[in-house]
Amino acid sequence: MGAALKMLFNSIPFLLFFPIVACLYLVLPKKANYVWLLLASYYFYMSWNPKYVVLILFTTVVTYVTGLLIGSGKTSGNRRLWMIVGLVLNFGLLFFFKYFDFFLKNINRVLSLAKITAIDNPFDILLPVGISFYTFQAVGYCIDVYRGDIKAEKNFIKYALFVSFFPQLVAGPIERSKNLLVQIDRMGRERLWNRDKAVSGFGMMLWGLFMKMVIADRVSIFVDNVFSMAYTAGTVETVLGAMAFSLQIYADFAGYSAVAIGAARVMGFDLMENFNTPYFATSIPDFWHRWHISLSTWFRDYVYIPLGGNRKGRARKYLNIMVTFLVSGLWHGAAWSYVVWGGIHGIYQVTGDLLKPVKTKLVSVLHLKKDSFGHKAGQIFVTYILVVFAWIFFRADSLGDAFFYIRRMFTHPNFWTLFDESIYTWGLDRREAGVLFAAILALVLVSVVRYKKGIDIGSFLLKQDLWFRWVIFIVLIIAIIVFGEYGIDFDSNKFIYFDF
Amino acid sequence: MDTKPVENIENMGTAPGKKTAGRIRKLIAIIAFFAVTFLCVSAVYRVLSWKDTTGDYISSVKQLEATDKDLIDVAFVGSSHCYCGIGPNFLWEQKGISGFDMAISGMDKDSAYYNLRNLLKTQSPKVVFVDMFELTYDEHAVDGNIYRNILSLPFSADSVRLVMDYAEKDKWADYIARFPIIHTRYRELKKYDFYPFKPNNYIRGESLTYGAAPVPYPEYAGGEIVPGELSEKNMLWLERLYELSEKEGFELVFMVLPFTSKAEDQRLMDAAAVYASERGIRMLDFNRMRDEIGFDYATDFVDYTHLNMSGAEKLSTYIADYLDENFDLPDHRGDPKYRQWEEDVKYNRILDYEFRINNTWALDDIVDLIKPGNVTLAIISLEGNFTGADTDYYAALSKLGMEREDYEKGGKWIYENGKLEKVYENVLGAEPYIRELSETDTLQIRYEGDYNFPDNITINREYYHNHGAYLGITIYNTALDRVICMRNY
Repeated sequence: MGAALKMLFNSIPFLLFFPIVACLYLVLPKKANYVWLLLASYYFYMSWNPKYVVLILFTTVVTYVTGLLIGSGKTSGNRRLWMIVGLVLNFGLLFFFKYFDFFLKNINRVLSLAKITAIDNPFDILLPVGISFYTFQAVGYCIDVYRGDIKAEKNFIKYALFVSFFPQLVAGPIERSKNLLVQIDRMGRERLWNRDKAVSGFGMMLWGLFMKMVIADRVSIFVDNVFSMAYTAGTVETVLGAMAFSLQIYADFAGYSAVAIGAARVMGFDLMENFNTPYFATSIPDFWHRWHISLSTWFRDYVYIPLGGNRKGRARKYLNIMVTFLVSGLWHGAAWSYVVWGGIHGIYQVTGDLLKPVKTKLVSVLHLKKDSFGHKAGQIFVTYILVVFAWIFFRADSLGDAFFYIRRMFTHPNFWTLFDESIYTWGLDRREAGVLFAAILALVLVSVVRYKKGIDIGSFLLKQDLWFRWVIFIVLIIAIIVFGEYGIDFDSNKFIYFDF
Repeated sequence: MDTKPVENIENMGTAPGKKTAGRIRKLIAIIAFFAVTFLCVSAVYRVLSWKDTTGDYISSVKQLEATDKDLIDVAFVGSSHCYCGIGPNFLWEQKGISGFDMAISGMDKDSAYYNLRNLLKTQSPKVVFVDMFELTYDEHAVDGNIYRNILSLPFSADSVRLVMDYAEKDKWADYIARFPIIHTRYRELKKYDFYPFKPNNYIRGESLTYGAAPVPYPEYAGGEIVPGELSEKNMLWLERLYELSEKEGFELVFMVLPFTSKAEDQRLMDAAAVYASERGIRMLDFNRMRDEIGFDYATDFVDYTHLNMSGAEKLSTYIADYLDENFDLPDHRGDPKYRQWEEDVKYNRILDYEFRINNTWALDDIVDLIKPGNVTLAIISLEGNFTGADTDYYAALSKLGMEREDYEKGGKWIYENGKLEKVYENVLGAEPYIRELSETDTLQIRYEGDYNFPDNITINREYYHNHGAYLGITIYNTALDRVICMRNY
């Protein structure tokens, strides 16, 4: 399990940390609750690297003070000024830690074209865990105060807890002040916790761990092999590899989010939803309503709409979409492959909008039944293929690798590998593939419940009879313990989104 | 996600008494849930728990668990040198001494200390021999030996201390929780992960080995004692053993089990000898005593570091005599409380029998070995034109009581406990003969045609048909529930 104290959700330290924090949270007086959670959150964050605490404190103090200054600003110019100060300081910090190296590399590339000596990077920068998440959350708060959507928080401890709340600190969901800060504010006056929330949250946590440890980490063995040895892979492996990555990143990130939401719910907090059956989306815009919802709505509320959204004509709308998606790509990582991934999604959206009349015409000419299951399944399939194609850029180590991968996909047909069992030589033998398929079946079942009933697994289980809930809980616990990928020989237990 | 706050039904207009009762019910439900979960996880743990799959599931820790309190008079603590070199069965047969090998492959110093402490929780041995070979290394060379030593000990404060003493800090949690290491065993589960391996109920820690390989004479183990320097860890270990013997009141004996020592190994053994003499501890360096015991380095070893059955018999006989001369140990033979030692002797005889039968090829000789029939069941299959074959099978099979008339018809017989029974005629399409050989093994006999039809004889899904021969003999060990030999003629 790697370093002894890192608070990965799927680690023994977290297994000890969380029950202790939650139990003390329950027995402490209401007024001490937020102080306790703040201490726990800082301990959680410092378990990664104690030095990082300076950064989160900086972000907290800057946005707390600018929030107060924005809130008390007499003129809109004054308020605007403080908001800009808050944004510049926070994005400046983010830029330095996340993008400075990337920026310098690109500058040097340009300089080398002009045959000018490259600039040395004087800093040895390590990306602090979760910085993109808490920066966006804190910046969102400043904008909310500026817009008058929320009053500036005067209690520093409560505000610091809002920025550092441990369940969602390192990989989201990126909370809104209107949701989380309001709940933190209520903590001193009332108990947020109740038994139903705890049961539902516990179910979410188990399901999240199942997704991460049984599905994501298992399928990652296949994905890593295919992407790292793409030069020996043919059509079958590259197509399955890309599809497998779509499963890996979903199970990994949605699994993480489920644990985060579940852990918060156990303590009585309602965090915002982050995933809603994204691969059941019938279009790319629909996909973005379902995938990493806390980030996509953040970009919608704080980037796309302020840029003018769709209110300033079609050309400007397309430009706004492209800008939003390119920035979103860059948010995921300081590399051109992420920017291209974001760009592809932007192009999908723009092209989809441009082709709308053609699609309408086709539906009419071919007498397609828009409400039929087949039509919907077709839309889901096409959307999924487009999303999977874009994931290749997200997963590949570089743009060159991504293009190489795609070329192998179309130039080396080897369909026999589906039948001669050589597909089992890519890291998952028959037994492991069997375990994976069983787990995927469970994932599909849970997704169908979510899709049809509109509730998550935790809330669904809460509505079931006690015996059924117990059986599911125990089955999940045993499945995680037995089939989860963890332990001394396992070193791929980082959540993908921690790097963003 | 359903973002609506989940309603709290707890506080909805209920009377205080009902509220308390409701809370108690919920508390009971939570406790019951964790209890059921614990039971389920424990059941899973039992299946997945680390077992010595390369050592035929034999575990001296399990054998100790199966031993009633205060029966062991002499304990031998050590590595494979110990379980290959000392046979408590010999001590029992010769002197009625209740000995036990507390031995694990590659046992390191920490494991030796904590496994001895574990033994002392249920046993009060009068004499404890500890192998000094552990002085030659601090860490295991292979992961398997770490697991054997760290994951075998029952959960206790000592098992946690063992991890903390042996393992690196960042691995403590994994070793203590155990599941992070053992959970992948679902990929290798076999019968004895679900059913207890019966011999663990009575084996007394030894695992004696057949076969021989000539090894070099240990030239460094002779002459004057030239002690080397004991490292801090080695010194600490010896001190801890000494303190334990003082506290628990047993006679501590240091021993060096025979191995082809290098010069630096021997210096360590000599240093232990010096330490022992300073503390008044007995020391038996069997490398130095090789001539006295009479080891033959051409025939008494299986490799450079392990005695074979013949070497173990010589060493155990020497130890039995030594114990008899130097300690007042009771002869427990005939005492029903010590039935495990009796069974252990029988078990080793069975192993000896297995070895002999597996090295016997002639039909006559095989039949002679089957004849006593007390630990085996033989399935005899005659198919095809066996009466026209060059070999006269009947001469040999008649010794088991086969009638000529029956023989000439062919078919399948079972020979067990001195009785031969024809259980199947070779008739196409006849109903199969089924017999439960043990809790887990089912024999099926049928006839699909001569010689090469695998389904003709199966045990579970394994084939024991004639493989192209007229006569097939499959020998199943009823004491150990396994096929030990198959011959075709």
